[in-house]
Amino acid sequence: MSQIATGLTNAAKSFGKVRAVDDVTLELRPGQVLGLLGPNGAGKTTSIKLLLGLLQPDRGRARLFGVDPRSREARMRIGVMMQIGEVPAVLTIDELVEQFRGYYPNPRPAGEAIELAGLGALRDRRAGKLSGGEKQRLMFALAICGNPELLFLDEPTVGMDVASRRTFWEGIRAFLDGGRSILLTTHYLEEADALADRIAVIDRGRVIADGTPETIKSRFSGKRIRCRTSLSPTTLLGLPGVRETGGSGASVELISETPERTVRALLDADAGLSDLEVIGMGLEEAFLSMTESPAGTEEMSA
Amino acid sequence: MSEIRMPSMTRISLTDTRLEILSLIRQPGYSLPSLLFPVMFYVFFGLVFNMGRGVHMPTYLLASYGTFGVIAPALFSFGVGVAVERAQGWLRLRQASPAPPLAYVISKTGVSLAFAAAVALLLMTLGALFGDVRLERLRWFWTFGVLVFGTIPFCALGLWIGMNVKGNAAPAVVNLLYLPMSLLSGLWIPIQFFPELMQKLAWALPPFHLAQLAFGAVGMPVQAPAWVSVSYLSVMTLVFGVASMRSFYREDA
Amino acid sequence: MKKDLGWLGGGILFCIAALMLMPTPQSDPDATVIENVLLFDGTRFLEDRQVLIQGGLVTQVAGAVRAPAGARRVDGSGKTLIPGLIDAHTHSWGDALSDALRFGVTTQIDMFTALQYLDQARPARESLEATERSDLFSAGTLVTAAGGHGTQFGIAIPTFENAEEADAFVEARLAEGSDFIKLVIEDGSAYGRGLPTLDAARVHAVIKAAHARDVLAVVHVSTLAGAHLAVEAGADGLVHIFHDKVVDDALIKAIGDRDFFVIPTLAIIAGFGGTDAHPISRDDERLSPAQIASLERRFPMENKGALTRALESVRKLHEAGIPILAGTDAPNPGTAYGASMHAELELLTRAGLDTAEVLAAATALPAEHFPLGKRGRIAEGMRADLLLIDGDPRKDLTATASIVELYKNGHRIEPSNPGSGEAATALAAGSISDFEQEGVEASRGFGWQPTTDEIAGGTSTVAFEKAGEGGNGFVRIDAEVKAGFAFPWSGVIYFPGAAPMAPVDASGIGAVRFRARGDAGRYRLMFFIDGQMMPITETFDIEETWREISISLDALSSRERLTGMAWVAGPGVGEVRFDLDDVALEPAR
Repeated sequence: MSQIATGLTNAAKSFGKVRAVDDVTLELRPGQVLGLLGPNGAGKTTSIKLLLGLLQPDRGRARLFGVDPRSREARMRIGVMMQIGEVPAVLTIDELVEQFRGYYPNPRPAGEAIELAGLGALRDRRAGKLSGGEKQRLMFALAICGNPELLFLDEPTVGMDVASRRTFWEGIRAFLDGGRSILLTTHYLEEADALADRIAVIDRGRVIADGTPETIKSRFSGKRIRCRTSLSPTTLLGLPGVRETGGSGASVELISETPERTVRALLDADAGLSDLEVIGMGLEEAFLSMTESPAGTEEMSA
Repeated sequence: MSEIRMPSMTRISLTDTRLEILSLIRQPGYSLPSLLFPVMFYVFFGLVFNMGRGVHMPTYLLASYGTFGVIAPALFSFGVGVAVERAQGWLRLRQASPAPPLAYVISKTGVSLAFAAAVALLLMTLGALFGDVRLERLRWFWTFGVLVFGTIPFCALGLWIGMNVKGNAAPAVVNLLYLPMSLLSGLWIPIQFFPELMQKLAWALPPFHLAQLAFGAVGMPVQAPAWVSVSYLSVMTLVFGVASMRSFYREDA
Repeated sequence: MKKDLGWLGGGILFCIAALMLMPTPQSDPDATVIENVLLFDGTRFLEDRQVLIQGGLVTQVAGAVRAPAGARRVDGSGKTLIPGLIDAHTHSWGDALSDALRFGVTTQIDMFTALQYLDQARPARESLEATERSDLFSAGTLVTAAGGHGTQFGIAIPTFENAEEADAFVEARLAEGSDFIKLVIEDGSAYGRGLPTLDAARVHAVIKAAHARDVLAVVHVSTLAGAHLAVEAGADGLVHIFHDKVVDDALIKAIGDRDFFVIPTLAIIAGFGGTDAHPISRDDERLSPAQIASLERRFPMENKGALTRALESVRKLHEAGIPILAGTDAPNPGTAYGASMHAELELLTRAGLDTAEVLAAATALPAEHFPLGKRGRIAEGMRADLLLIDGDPRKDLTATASIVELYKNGHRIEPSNPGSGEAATALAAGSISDFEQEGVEASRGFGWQPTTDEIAGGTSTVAFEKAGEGGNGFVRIDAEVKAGFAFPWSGVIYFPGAAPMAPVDASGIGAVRFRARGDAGRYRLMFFIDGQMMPITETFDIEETWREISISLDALSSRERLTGMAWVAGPGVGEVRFDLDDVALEPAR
């Protein structure tokens, strides 16, 4: 098997009986933004922790720049933005950035990191007085102040409104100007689409799709149509735009790339059709459709 | 990539210590009680109600409340501080950073030492000004040294607690350990007033041994030979230090 | 980084500065702290104490003292610190004070000595200077009947006949420097002979006179009857336990609740029975030849039951709560200054006193009853007369004699042992003086000096000079022996040592040979021995014409420390002239 310089090779990690990561192979390539997409509990965070050396794989291995992620050499080249509850409340943004810059051999000027994170006006504000979004941006500033080659962003925009999220994305793009790499986990397809060159979809501990955003998007586009109909599944599959069918008896579910055309054809084909519903497909639905897992996937704690 | 010079651990520890101290200063709600508790005790029992018979109470109590006072920051900054930072995820961010884990421990220890120094100096000043405490120069330094560096074993204990107790439970655990241990070690009431069995029990407790060294430093009679106390505290530092570092490296601490 | 170093450096500098500003105890390099010591404070034992000695006084006694900087620290583990011992019954003359100190007796209460010793006693005992001598409190001249007990020592003793004279008599004693009054009730009955003694009227009158002047009146007794008289007369204490009978209930009842003490002097009474249970070995380096001689002397009589009765009386008195004080009666036969104190302590335990009571009897109690000022206890402000002894006297009382460190007036004193350092030089046989030179010369030694009873309070005088011509030289002595001292004398003394009274070892000498002539009569040759108050006296007769006389030294018990030889007239009163020539020493055979 080929060695992956930065990434996971057949990594597996269990917590007791729960298999959080089950044979994940994931390569991060220089200069690339990899979006790790998956529902909550899919194994995203566990994968990141394996990559950061915060967890050790039961099987397989994790590498950063060809070395153990726990080594200082590896960690000096990465920046990490994690989901954390609180930051030391009485220190200012400036002080915290200074502190983290001190950990790196060749840090970015503090002002630059703070500007990139969009916190230029709040430098002397204590961390405890920041709003949720501002705290996230502080975490970003801490992640990039060391001038890392590789940035880990774990659900960076959770809890941000649309406007903040867009500002934040701009910061990330600015960071990327230097030809750096990012590993981004998110459960927003939109976010992955906006930032990533490549998206890996992870579910129940496995990578179920890995490709360009277009490829992935195409798999996840479309809408779900629900109705009671007497049409046979074969007929339904023949309708325009229908990609998949499901359901039992009279109650069926269709997934269509072109829901308007499908609905029209459906109504034409079955006059007795009832209980018609057209549902937009979120990521969760996309996963469900992709993996045919029953609703209410077991929550994984990782 | 060109030759890169890693920032030294000393530098990282120093910066972290300074910021930790800054945090303490900015949170008087936490730091003041820890500082004032032993001071209050000392002023009350050592200076105002001087009930000493035979020994010079302000000097005696400088050692016992000094010990009581310096243990607190060690146990709390480590036991509670670390547990809370662990619960908040801040510790994890630290762990993922290139800063060596030891730097984290050193900086926290540095804070405890600084805090202990403040407690010790405060009590010494009060004792000197109002309790007529007079020690030979070397004894002042020695007492200070014992009180300040004597906190290290308690840092190790605190670190171990912080690493192994859930964040919200840590304050309770530390208090449950700190207060009875201080009492039973004779930090509040001289151990000679205890029943014999309790006096023997005290030998098993770490604060007893630090207090013994402190008594020795101020020139008070001691019960345990210095080598016994030093050995006890060294072993304690080693045991909890190693156990804590294991916890530190443990997965998903 | 700069900022961090600034914080660190600033913090460290601040701490150092603060610590440098902390007040230090006043420096006193002369201070001593005795640590980890078992303390007997005069009354009770206290474990693990620290005692601070400063400026001659005990300044702190505590579990932990606050010692000044530079204090000498003495580890007292395994040792006991006790107050310097107080011998409550001595006759202190000669080397008494230095002899006693070597054995830890830092204060002597003398019950009769020559007045000359009183003069220095007061300034010496008030001083806190380093000294190798114990402090002395003294009765001075005792109060006895003419020809009674106490007049036999060759010291002039004033007496009085009528009770009305008591006031003036006591006044005179206090003027002489007596610290308290000692009376003698001694009819000799306990020793099987008759002696004149004070009658009851005089006893009453003297005690009353003493009390009127706020001084103690203590009484020598040897019989229960004497004790009854003393108690009835209001005496403050007995300086011996009587030994003719065991104490009766009547006496205990008569003493009742008043302040009264008994100094049994069991050490001397033990000697009546020929008992020699002395805890101090004769090999003890602290014993001077005089002390050894004194220990070896024996009373002529024997009274084996005396000690048993005395012990029983002491037991009863002690049980009745009457304070018992330790005293030795040194240097009477069988006792020695200082050394016998340890014997007395042991004897007191045989009378039922426990260790703390025995030690209190030798420390706090005499200091309290006489009173002796800040002595006898180890407490803040007391004089630092202390003994650091090896071991625990509760386990073994002989520990009191194992003195590790001795403090007198707060100074650590290491008394030189009499045997060491100044071994007497040997006196060789041969001529001393043939008086053929100009003046009264001796071929060796310090030479010739006049000697009379003036040094003992007498008034005799003497003059001497070289006489005779060309090969017929001699020394002529004109002696006027005057009444005024019990045993008056007048004559010349030869000091064989390099200095007056410096001892020489005369063990190689068998006899003194000389020629003499003069007013016919009986003369005396007195040999002075180091540490013995009484010279050893031989007599010789002189006629008008020259005669050669040889006097053997066989009578000298300890010839090793001869300090002087005196040719004197007396005790007969009158003017006499005698000549001496060709004084020489003959070797021992």
